[in-house]
Amino acid sequence: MELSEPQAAVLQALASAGQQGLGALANATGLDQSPVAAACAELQQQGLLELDEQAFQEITLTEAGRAHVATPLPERTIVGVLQQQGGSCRLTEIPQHCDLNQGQVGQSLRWLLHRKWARKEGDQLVLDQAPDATPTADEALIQALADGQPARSDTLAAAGHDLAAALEVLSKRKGFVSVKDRTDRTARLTDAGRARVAGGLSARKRVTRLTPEMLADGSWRQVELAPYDVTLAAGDVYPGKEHPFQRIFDQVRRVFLEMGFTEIASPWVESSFWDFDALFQPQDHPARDMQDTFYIGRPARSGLPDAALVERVRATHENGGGTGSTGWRYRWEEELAHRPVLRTHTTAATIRALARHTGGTSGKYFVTGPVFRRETVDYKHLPMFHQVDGIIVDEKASLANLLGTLAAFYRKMGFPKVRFRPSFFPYTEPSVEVDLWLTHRNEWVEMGGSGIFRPEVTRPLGVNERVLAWGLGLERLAMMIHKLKSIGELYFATMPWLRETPLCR
Amino acid sequence: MPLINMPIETLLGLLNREKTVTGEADLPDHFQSMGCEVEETTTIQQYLCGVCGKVIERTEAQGAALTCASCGTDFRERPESVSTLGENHVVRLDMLAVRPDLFDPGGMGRALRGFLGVQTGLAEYDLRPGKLRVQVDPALANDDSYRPFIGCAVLRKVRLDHDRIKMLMNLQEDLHWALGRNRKLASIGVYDLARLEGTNFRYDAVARDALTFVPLGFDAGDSSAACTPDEILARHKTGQAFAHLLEKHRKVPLLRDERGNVLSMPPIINAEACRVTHDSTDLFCDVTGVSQRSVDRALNIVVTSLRELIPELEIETVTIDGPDGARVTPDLTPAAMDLSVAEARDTLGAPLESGQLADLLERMGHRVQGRGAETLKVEVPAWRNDVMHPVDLIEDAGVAFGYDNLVPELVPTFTVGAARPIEERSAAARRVMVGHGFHQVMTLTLTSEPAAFGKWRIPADPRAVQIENPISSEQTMCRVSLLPGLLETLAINKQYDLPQQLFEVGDCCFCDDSETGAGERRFMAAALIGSQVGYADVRAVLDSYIYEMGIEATIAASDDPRFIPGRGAVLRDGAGETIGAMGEVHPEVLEAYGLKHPVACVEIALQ
Repeated sequence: MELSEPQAAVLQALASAGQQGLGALANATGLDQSPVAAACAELQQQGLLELDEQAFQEITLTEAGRAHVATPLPERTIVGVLQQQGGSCRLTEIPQHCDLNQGQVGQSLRWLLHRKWARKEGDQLVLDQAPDATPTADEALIQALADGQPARSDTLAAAGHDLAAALEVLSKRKGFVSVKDRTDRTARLTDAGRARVAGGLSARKRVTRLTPEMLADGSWRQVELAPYDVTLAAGDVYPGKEHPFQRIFDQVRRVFLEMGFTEIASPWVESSFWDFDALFQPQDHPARDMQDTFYIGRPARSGLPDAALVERVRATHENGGGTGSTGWRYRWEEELAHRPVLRTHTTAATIRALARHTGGTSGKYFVTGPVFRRETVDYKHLPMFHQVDGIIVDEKASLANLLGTLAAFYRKMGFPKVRFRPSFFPYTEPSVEVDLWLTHRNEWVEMGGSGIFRPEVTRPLGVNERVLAWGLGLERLAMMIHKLKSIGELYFATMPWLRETPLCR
Repeated sequence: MPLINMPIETLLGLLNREKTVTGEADLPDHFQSMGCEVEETTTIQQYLCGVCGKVIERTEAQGAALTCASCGTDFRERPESVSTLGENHVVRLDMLAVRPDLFDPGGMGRALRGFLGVQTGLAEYDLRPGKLRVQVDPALANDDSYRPFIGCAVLRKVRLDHDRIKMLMNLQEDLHWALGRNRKLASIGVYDLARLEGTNFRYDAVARDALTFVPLGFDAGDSSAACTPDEILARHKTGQAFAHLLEKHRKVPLLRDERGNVLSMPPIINAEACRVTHDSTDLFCDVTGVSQRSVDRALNIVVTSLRELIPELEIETVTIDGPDGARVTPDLTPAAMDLSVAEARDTLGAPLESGQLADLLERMGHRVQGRGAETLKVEVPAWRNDVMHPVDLIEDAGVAFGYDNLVPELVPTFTVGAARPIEERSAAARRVMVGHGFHQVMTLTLTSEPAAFGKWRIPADPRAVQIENPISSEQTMCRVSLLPGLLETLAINKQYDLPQQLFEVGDCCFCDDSETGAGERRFMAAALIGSQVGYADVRAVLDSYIYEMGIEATIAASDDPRFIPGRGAVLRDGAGETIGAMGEVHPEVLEAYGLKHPVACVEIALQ
């Protein structure tokens, strides 16, 4: 196997100087420590050298310790005070006789007792086994490390220091010393290594980066590109992303478009006429209360569509008009129809589409968009949420077609198991409630309303065909799909959620 | 929506009167297939308020009654005034406002007997001609005292226990809600007939201080208990709660017996003197209102449901002498409706024949004639409030047929779909911004003047749509810019790694001269935050954005107060119309959002 440049240099250095530490090898080869270490590890693997590892500690005197190079440790000072005061002194009076404050005296007690230099008798501190002037092991170590440079534990031990005793004290004192575990590696050629050196060393230069220059002049052929540990992770990066809720909108729109529906829209600010009256909601219906619906102060009044249509809606409410209905039998007030509201459902859009629809033809329409209800904010309600509504206008359409279409729609939305129940909605007849089976929750969940628009809704708009209609709330769907605990998570999004929600589930 | 407690034992008693047809376990399924939504099956405790005599129902989850909902007595302070009546096993149903005839076990039992095939066709009730008459004051049709419609009935051989009184009260309350629109359209009164005198009653409009009577709940022995109508509206708890219904009335409606004793002041309160008790055997019942239809339906439901519950009950008619002549109530004449078999077949998408369809309708309680013909003659019960059109009969037939028995299939007609161009363009805008490494956000479309303008150092926009009845001070108008939402999102994310880059593509709403008076405009807005962020960052993104989107925009310096002076720009289209703004956000705005790093942002119309 061909040697890399650092490998060759290491072998050469060892051949001329015998066994060497890695630091010395770095000096001898003129390389940095890390390529030398890497080269040694590779050579060891190839059996060309052996590495001896010797653990030691690197001890450095840190700031608090350095302060006591010139000044004695506080417990030594206190012993001095006690001797001067005849062998004992009130604890509180010690600061009067030296440079220490009460706090320092307090902190030193532990060491006075530990060294058995003094003991406490009531509020008195009494000399116990008073030390002589000989430095303790820790004091000696402080002096040995006085220059602030790191020292090796093996060197210090060889110089006669009792490191165990010294560090027992110093390492417990905050900020006195730092002790780091180190390993000293010494490299030595094996027989195979020596044979390799004897056979002559030729090497290729090892480089990390492939540079444009190397490609330009072809010199990449003379170098070795260093291998990486490809199992290591690099830093975290995130792509820019669309909002997770956007993806649900996209899915709903795609399903409708695939099923041949035309997308429509209607304004947020809607007249009561289109939001309620055209849907045959009587003017005293609770849904029209100030309690439930946002009425608009500005603009103060909405216009109405052409007078003939308004007249047909009035007649339908009052006596059924020409729809075959009895009507609600009350006096319909045009002024109430002018009142603008924030639309309470996207059905307002499908109703407008029906009014535009050419009678006698088939049509399929859908709308997605925000709707507004006067709801108090809680974990599943906001005063604004989104709905999707779809309608099919077709003279052949039936309730069986509605069920078939809904089953296809929800299957495409990812809910293959659907249940239909009779229900009552004010503007559809028959009305159907749709339940979806949620496998992960093991239960049926009510998902949306549907039905066939009442003739009182469609006939005044000039539509004599039956109109299948259904709608659902999108936030509810989003909360289920993204397993959210609160609707607010959609609108007050955090960066981690935006960044980390995967595109595919 | 309010819930009703349907007592299981009573209901099963009514269903299984002749033979056992169903049990408790099957009830929820029956309800479901009839279109009634079952909330839960549970046990309720009944408590009797010793002060006002009302029965209070509480579910296990709700726990013991702490106060009386009717008279307000606090049972924690006066534990001696409440006693336990016992338990009742109930199915809790979501009320269907359109089917008030199903609110009580009597009416529900009738419907279930038909649905299950025990007793099909139109239920019939004996009406005995009665002697009582009610004279209606023509002034009640005037605008200053409008409540012209009244229907009455006499009910004899009533045996009342706590359960039945509670059922009657619940029915009354539920009908007030569903049919009466909180007593506005119709309100119901029930009285002990034994306490009423004579046979010629009067229903008049009287001045608000014309007379006094003791309202229900006030102690007749107390000298201050007799009140004028005005005093009742001011002092009595119920009076205060419903005073708004008579707000515009100069005169109030009053129902009195032949001797001038007050029965009630509709739609507010009855008189204490003729209160219904356990000892009452004969009742007088009235419904007054502003809608003839609601008045009639409510009366028909009350009398027929009670008759279902109390088989020995006798219903007597009352003659109403109105300005347009006399009419006899209750009037249980069914409404006649023609139903085309072909129309029903095509609407349901089920191969039904005339006879089959007739069977289905009879199971839903209608009488059907012309079996075998292409047009059925259907008679609709006088207590059904929801049958306005033959299509309602088709739904009834569909429910009886069972939605599960329909074969789902797609509409055969082929259509070509089409997306709105603005949505396609929005998708392109999102692709550009995602490509730049921005994250899309979606923010609330409602905001407030302080959030939209105050924080941004700009005057309020007169084109903003304002809500007349906001629910919170934070949502009083529709947004006119996406930038506040972006900065709010940055403020939420202060603790996370910078830089952050957000964008939104969304609508803002402005007053205009369209039909409704306001319309939306779609914008793309983006914001960047980071210690090194500046104008150049957003400028670079914008340049790329308008290039990709094919927008021709000119960029000129502006003195927009939202931006640092000299670092804000206005964007204009080829015609010189303003289409957006861009700049480094003013530090005062950053402070208002609590942001600690510079922000640069842009907002530009999508089109």
